[in-house]
Amino acid sequence: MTSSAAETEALLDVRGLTVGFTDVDRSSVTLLRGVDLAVHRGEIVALVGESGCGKTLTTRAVLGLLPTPPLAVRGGEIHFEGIDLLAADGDAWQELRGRAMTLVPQHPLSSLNPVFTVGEQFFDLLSFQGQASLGPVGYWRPRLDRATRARHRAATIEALKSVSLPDPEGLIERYPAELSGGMCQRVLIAMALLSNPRLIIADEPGTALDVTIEAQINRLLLTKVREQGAAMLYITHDLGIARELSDRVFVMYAGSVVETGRTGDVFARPRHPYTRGLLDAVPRLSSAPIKGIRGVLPDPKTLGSGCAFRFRCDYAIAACAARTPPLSQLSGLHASACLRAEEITL
Amino acid sequence: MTSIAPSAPLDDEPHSVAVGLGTRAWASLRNSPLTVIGFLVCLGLVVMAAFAPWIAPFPEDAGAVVKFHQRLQPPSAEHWFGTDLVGRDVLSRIVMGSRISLATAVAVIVAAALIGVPLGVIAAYRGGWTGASIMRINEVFLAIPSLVFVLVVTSLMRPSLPVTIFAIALAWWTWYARLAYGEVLSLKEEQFVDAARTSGASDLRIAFGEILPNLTSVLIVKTTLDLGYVILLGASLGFLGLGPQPPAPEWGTMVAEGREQLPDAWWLTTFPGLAVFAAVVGFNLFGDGLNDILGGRD
Amino acid sequence: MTVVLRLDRVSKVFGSGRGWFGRSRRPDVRAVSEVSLTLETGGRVGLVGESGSGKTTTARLILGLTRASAGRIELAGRDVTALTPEDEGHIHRSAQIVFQDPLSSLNPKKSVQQIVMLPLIAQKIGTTNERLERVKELLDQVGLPQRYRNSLPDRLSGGQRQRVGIARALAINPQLLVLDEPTASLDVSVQARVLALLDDLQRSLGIAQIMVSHNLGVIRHVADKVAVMYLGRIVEQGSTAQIFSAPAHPYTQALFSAIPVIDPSERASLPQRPEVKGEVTSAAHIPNGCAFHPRCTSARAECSNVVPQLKAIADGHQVSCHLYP
Repeated sequence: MTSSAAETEALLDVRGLTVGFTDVDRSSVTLLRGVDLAVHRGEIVALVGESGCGKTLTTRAVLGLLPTPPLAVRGGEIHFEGIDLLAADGDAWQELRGRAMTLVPQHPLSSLNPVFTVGEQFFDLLSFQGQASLGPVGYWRPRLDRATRARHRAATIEALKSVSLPDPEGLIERYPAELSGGMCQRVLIAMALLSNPRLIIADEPGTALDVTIEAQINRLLLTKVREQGAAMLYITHDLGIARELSDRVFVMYAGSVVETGRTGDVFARPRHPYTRGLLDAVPRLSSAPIKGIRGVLPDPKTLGSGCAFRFRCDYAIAACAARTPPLSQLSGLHASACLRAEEITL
Repeated sequence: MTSIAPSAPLDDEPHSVAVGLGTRAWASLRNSPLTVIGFLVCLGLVVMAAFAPWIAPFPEDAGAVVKFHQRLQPPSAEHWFGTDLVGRDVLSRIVMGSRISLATAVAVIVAAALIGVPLGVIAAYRGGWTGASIMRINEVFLAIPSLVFVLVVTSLMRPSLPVTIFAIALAWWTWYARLAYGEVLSLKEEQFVDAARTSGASDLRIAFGEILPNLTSVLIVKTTLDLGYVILLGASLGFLGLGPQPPAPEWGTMVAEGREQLPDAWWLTTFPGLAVFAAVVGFNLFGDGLNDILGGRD
Repeated sequence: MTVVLRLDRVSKVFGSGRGWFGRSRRPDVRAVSEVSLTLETGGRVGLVGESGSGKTTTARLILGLTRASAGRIELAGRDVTALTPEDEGHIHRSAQIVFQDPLSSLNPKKSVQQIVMLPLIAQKIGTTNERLERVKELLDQVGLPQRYRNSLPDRLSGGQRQRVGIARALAINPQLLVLDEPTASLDVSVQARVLALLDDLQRSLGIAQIMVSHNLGVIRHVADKVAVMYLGRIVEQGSTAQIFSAPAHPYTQALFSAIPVIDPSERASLPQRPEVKGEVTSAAHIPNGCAFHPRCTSARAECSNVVPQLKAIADGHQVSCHLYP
């Protein structure tokens, strides 16, 4: 894996992550088949893939939010700033999640609590920071203390201003239902940035929004993350967004990373037939023809060993069914999990 | 006009080898012993009713037989559940009585579903005044507790099995109407309804040909759960003397008759009571299990 | 070329009506305002817009799923505005729709064969054997293997489901096919193949198509005319080439600059436009004058007072904006 060869230690380092579950008929189903992924400090990384590729599952695992059971981590490691996340306990997560590592969710409207005002939600966030439980005293003390209230209010207004929300003073008193999807997403971005996190995980933050709003949100996210010098892992199915936003890209298919490299390199010279297929399928604004990928995503139950893409691949040979090709370095940061990456021209 | 590369020949494999209903049913039975118990009790009850004359040791005891020489005998090897005031075998009467309970329950539910489901479907699908009127009438029926309602109806007519069935069905259709109403209200927002409309399908075809089949799962579950409740209600009526009249071996009637012999001849009330209990619990457990199997999509 | 569809200043207002006891009414929602559109045999129009633009309501108006508040709708040579039962019959015989969500638009309790056959049964076309034969032919046409005939929709993939939806729409040989974001819920690799199928069908059958979408890239590949809608009005329309080479309305330009592209050189050929301000206003509170003026970076005084009319700026290219005299 290329990232391990990089000079600095990765901020987030996922290696060989394997996740599966046991189906009701007692058959074992593997959903993530050894995911390798690394994010370095201050870097913007896109994780691209179609539905069912495991990108959301990977994010859940990194955030320690996998529903176990039914799911189970069957192998691999996840390290964040050197901490083994798979072994982390509740206290360790309390320090990390929501502080060092924050999430900008996919559905802005359902990600804010509808019964509290924007101000109250910030207040909780500010007083809970890094504590598992406050107890009744810890809950009421900041609420009754005028100085704390004023300080939190000022911090909230500052945060709302920083994401270009108009009239932050008025916004504090409003309920999420009174805000549009775009505004909710700005509020959530402000919340995610509040603790000066080292890593921001953005899970398709614009998919639920209109195109013009999505563009605004992405631009805002990019500016803020760069400003704070944080790293961002941006999950998306939209290749265009990945192209415009990220420094480095990981392409996932059927539960594993099939290609990674600098975004410009991967888009200009893809080295995995799946990446090529995806790029050819995106409708262009020019009149360039588009072409889909034949077949459908294989069922994880029937996948067996070998390259998961071989059923749909024009370049597949007998060897592709024999074993799962590892992600192997081609040049610099560029790596592809295709046996024939060196010999075929895509 | 832009050009699009010709579509590749199609060789779509099946999207998934999704676990079939049979496998899912089996898995959920295995994980839930209560469902299995419920199923076995229900199966036992149905078999008992179907083959009652062959199962009952003294099938003739279901009727107006008098065997004074063996009256009020406690449970023994010959009479497992003892004998009653006139010497009839209690076990035989319970076995024969299962036919009455089950027949009542099935008849009531079929009638209630046949009245309630179409009314609920129409009310939800048409909406407007039609829907409002149906649902208001429904609420009037619903406002009266079913036992009270049935008591009033049966007291107006001479108590008998058909009257019991008629009375309970008249109280029970409201639940089916409400269930269908709620389900159709959400189903009619599905795009396949618009698709049927643009296909030129009539309202009747859309409501009953397209939407109704989507109600089967909830109806099966509801029906199973209800079989238990209706058996209980039927027994309550029998107990109050408003059900099938003696000598019919109705379980509730038997409990009522035996009540006077308490505490000495405890078997006269205990065993018919246990039969009612087993039936209610059995259908309930089985219905809950079915709900998990049929309703558990995804 | 015969005209298949003609919309003449069609509007749709959803009123909330007066409540019981004369409760105060909520404001009416103007979903569609004075939309005019003409479509000829074999023509393909793309309706582009974001949420609240009225593009889906326009599609529903064409199919008679909702009644127009004003204007005139002519479909396959008949005025169907009044939506009498005869009009509805005529619509069902002439126009069909492919919905956005392939799962919700297929009855989960019906097999592929039953779903595709429904229009034939409902409209009493052919004998049972002829219908079965037609289903076979349709499945071939949309590229769905015959072995799926008895499958329920939940056993199919998203792309396969949408093929079933297309087969159903084609069953009665309609003159007009309305496509309501047919690929919005599909992955790109599948989307490309469904678009290719639509393209093949258009070439072989010559059915007129209206494609509703928010995705300009998709529209580019399936339409020869484009109408851009904003808050219920068409703000710009023209040939696909005109719209994609020289978008004129500030909103169209904003849409183009909001689209992320995988090839940066594509962006260079488009007019650069600063990002739009704020968000789409609710259709219940449409701003006075040009509905886009609160978000427009080039708005002038008159933009907030006078509703701009569609004016030709080139042959077949119309725009409703005060910036164009």
